[in-house]
Amino acid sequence: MQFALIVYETPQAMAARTDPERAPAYWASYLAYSRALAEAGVFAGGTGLEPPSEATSVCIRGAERSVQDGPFIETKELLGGFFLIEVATIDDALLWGSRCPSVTMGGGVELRPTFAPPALV
Amino acid sequence: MGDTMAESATTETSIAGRAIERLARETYGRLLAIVAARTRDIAAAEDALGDAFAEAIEQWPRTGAPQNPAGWLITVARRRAIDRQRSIPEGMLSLDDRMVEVGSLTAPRHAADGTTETNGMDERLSMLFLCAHPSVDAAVRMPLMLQTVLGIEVRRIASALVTSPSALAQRLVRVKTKIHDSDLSFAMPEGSELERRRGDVMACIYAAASVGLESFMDEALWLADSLADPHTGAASSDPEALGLQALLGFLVARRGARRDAEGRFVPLIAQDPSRWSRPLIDRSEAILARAAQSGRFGRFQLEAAIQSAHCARLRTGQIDWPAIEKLYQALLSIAPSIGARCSAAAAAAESRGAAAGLSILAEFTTDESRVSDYQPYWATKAPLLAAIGDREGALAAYERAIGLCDDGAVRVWLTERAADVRGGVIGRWS
Repeated sequence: MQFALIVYETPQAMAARTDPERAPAYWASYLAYSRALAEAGVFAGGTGLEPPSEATSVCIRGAERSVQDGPFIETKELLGGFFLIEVATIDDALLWGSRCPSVTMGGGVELRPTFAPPALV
Repeated sequence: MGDTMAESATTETSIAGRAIERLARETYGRLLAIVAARTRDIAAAEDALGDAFAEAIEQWPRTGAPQNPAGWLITVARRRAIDRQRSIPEGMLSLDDRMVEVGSLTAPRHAADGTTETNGMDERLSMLFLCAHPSVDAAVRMPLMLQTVLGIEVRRIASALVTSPSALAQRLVRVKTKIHDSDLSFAMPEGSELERRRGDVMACIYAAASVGLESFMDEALWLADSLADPHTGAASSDPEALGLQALLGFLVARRGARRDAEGRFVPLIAQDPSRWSRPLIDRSEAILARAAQSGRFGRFQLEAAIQSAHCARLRTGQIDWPAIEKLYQALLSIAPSIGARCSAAAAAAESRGAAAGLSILAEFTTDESRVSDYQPYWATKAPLLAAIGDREGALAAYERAIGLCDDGAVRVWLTERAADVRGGVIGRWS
């Protein structure tokens, strides 16, 4: 089964990325986590994301297109990135989720099964 | 003024709340077994008992706790069970079927001649043994035990097991249906069946203690105490039940010292023994000594002896590593496990040097897949590699241990140790 392991971070945790004091530990923990996923053969893709402040969103309001600075949905925890993992069961996915650094930094992870689009008739 | 009154009301509510919480922990499994025993329908009994506890939480802070809280709860639960049945077609169940002797619940379980009554063993233990019934899927025994004997919510159990709450809830419903449908006996097993199932009960309690971030350590100790309780006779003469009780006692005694005042991780050998619970350690020592009198050793007594040796630092200020290594070797010979092998390697390194520890860890390489995702393996190996001068190997092992870690404080500690190695600090075994 493939899962998206979606990483949510608190604003404070995400700020560690550029905080000279905290950045080394932050990056070391995610690098170690990514390597552990790869070594275990479950890593199938993924990427980190710049903070929501760097986002630009597009939608249509009424008949008018709206382009806005900022994320499409404002949330308390910030979407920091995602991993795609290939595992046998949801329990394996949860086990890997529990090891994600964001979980012990006030944030958390969400696991979603991925799917292939249904075959077109 | 208003604030003060609100505060005092809150205090009283929380006192009542805590009293109910304690009562739930002490009596839940027993009440559930009584309510469920006649119908063998655990799920219906749980619903009814849940209603009764909810009613207690609502009423007791206002009216005060009743004289016989457990009797009150079972009466209400019985009434709720009947109420629930009324919405079901009649004739499904007779009222008499639900009637139980409330009086016997809290009466002292001692016969008039002063001997302890053992034929009517504690219902809570019947439930404990039912959970380990051979017809109950081994994988679901421990969560079933936590739910039915201790009344722990599925959400909390699933969190500790790192499994989906809805999937676990379904598995628990299925097993209860099976118990009901196949009419499994709630009676305590006897003879060799009692022996066998006692082993399964102990395995479940042991598993409950180590699950998750040791969320259920207190509950596991409480279950081990219940099992070894001399008044029930279920296992008080079994040295292994005493061994389990002592083992969990040592672990609980030291738990508070695993974090310092700032919440940072403190490994066992760096812990301040004055922060351990002396009374609990003394109690565990006495239990272990009693177990040893039988001359029949098993894995739980060995594990307890290992923890006893660590706790001896409280009195002697020293750790007898050669003795600990011998105990681990004995443990590996009767109950090999990946965790015991890692601990044996650490003990060997302490008593004979890093290379000795690494050679024990090397025994894993024939089945590397088992250790590649096992965090303690890498955390054990890293400082040993550093100590023999393999800096690159040590850093790689630290990184793997960090990547597999699910405890924030341990991750920070490992990151600091890796930084030490990077900065040229060599381990204690150099």
